[in-house]
Amino acid sequence: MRRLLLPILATLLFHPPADAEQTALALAVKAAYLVKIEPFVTWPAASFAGPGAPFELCVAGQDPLGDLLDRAVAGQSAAGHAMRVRRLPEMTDVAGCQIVYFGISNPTILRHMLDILRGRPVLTVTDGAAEGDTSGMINFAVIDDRVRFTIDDDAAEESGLGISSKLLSLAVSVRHEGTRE
Amino acid sequence: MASTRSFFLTALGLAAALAPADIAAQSVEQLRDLSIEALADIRVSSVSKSSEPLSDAAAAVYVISHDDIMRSGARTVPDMLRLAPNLEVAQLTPTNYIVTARGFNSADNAALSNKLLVLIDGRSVYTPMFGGVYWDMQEIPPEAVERIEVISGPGATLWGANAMNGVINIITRGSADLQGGSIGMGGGNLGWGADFRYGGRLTDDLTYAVHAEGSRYYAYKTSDGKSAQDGWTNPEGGFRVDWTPGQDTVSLQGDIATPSEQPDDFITGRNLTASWQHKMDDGTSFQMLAYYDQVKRFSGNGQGGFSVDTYDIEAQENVALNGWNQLVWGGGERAFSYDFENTALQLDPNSRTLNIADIFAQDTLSLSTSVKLTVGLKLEDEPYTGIEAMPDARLSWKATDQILLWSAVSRAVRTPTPIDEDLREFGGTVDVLNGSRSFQPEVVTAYEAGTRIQAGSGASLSLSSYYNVYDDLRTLELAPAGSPSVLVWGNGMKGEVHGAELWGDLALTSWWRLRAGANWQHEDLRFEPGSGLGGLALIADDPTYQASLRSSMTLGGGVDFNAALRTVGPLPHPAVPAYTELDLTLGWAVSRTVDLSVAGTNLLHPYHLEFIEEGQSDRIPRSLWLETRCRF
Repeated sequence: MRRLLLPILATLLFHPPADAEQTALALAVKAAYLVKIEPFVTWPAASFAGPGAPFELCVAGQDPLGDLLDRAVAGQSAAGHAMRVRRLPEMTDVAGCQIVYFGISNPTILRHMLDILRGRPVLTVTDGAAEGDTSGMINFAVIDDRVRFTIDDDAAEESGLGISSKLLSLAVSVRHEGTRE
Repeated sequence: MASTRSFFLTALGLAAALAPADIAAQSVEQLRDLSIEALADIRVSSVSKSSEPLSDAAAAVYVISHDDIMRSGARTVPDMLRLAPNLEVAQLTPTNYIVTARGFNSADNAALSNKLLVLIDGRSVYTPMFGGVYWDMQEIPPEAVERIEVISGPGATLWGANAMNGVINIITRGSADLQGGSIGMGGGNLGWGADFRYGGRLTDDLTYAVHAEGSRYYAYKTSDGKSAQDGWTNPEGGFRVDWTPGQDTVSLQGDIATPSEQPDDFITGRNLTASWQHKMDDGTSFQMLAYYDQVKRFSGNGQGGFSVDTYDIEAQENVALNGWNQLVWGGGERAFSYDFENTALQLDPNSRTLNIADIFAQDTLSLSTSVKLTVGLKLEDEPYTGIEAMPDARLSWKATDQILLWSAVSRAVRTPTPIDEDLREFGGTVDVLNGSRSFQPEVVTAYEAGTRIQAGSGASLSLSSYYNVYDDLRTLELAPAGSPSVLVWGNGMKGEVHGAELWGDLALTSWWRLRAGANWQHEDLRFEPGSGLGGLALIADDPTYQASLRSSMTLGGGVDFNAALRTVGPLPHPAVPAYTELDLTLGWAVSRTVDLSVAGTNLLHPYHLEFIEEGQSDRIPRSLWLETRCRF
């Protein structure tokens, strides 16, 4: 009996159905973040197929942002690359993506997808994930009525990405060299 | 924490959305054009019914954001306030400033500039002894300031007496926003400073932050080239704890500062503030605030001093009565107990406890989807003059999604203080000036109208105009025959002040933003027949115009560049020439743990004057400041 109850309680406690409460404004702010993060992150040159390759902002799984992201990206460029949105039907298509945003909150699926991307030069962005192995390099969290984020600098470093101090200073917490600050 | 920090603004019905970024805001294209700091500052909740975006506020409100402050390089609160185009800020000494809105700049250590209410996290910091603010005691590390809301015009219905010409609401960051540690060190030709800050999390919903800092301000020179002997040393420290279980927010914060001015003035400021906010699912919220504040200022050379202990408790509720009625009501009690060391300047009695109690209610009625009427009344029981009524009515019309028109009529008072009623000032053995037990509150009836326009993405404009009718302003009068003193305080002046304030904001690109502001005013103040001793210098010494232009650039590689140009018109009593000055700030985030910045202030001239007090004044010098900050 106890064994059965405990995990359910834990699921309820740590994974509230937060997605349903997202306001349109919160989603729009997240879309804007995705477009604005680029100047604060450096990708290895190998991350692009070539100088003319686009900067690809990919969305994995269900997409809560919808056309907000397309509108935010319209006309934007990133370090000389045209920016565009690509929705991934399967994780194996990730080649060419500079950012992958996960519109998924199921921890089992998230963990699996993040494992696939580990070590690749892709900035992973999760939304409201619990801290630990289900959160991406950047993890959005609504704190104090505002959309803020945490940063996993270790995972970024492991993937050859450099995150600027400016972005780190805006994060509500940063995991660095194994410790969370 | 957010809600607690906006404790009072919730009352104005502005609260949750007063973050500056909400001025622009709604479409994703507009959001994309904001800076990343501004994005982090946008409130996304749609729950709070009592709040509305700044663009819908029926008042002349300007919000200085955390980002603005960090970019400006301002280190003192008055320098941060220079960012608000609806304030007059004049520097007198390294740490002493006069700050007013809509006129009534006057000399004598700010003792006579007494028509402004200043709150830090809900704690009133004007001195109840005379109604002015000791800006030298209000040191807050820039990193800890969340935002400053500046309302020009009366705010008495919600904030009470002294909110006559304006309200400055300083809101500091909650400890959840001050996590991690940092050490900063800076210095320049006018002084140096160092600070330490650390914030941590004890449990999921319990956070804390502590800070300590020390600063040294070197003495300025007076116009004759001699040292003004007004150097200043200020060790200061504080803490904050925020607990956010479920729908509640509980905060406790305190500060202690022990500044001293050379050669021998000693000052202590201490305060402890506790607040509690409870939100209900239907949008109703309830808030309580209690604080203790102690101020001690003494001169070591027998020139006297005083101490004041203030105890305050207040509560308010925001509740939606029905679909079209939003009510805010509440009340409070403040007791202040003072002890005045009588020298040539005396108070009779020199030690006593006074009480101020108030109740207020304000209702916002949605007359249609685009028209709102807000009516409110505060009744305040004053220690000297009994009950004062401070009513207010505001009408706003959202003509289109982009254009808001508003107008307001309100009455506010500056209530008598011990300096007005109980003063005895001696010159040698002669009793020169006495307070008057028949001194009446100074009264303003303010008529305001304004518009706020949001033009496309990243461009906004605000225009406010006012016509203020004053009565019973304080004047020096010859004492009637048989009086113990030569002079007494009287209420011998009336008059009108009208003016306009204009400001705009334009995001030229995603990395370059321009802001401009200007204000004009015309004062027509008249002495009653037989009055007029001392002239206008004691009451109003204001420029007829001010203007400013600021540019903020976010360059690549963690570099920010900020420029601010300001011009202030001439002062009449006594004459001070107009001046124009330029500040430049360059900030560089070198790595994830190290920031460097360099700030040049008042760069156009080696010296300029901002005010003349008692015939002589400090020359305000050009300055340079270098700072480095390490985070851990």
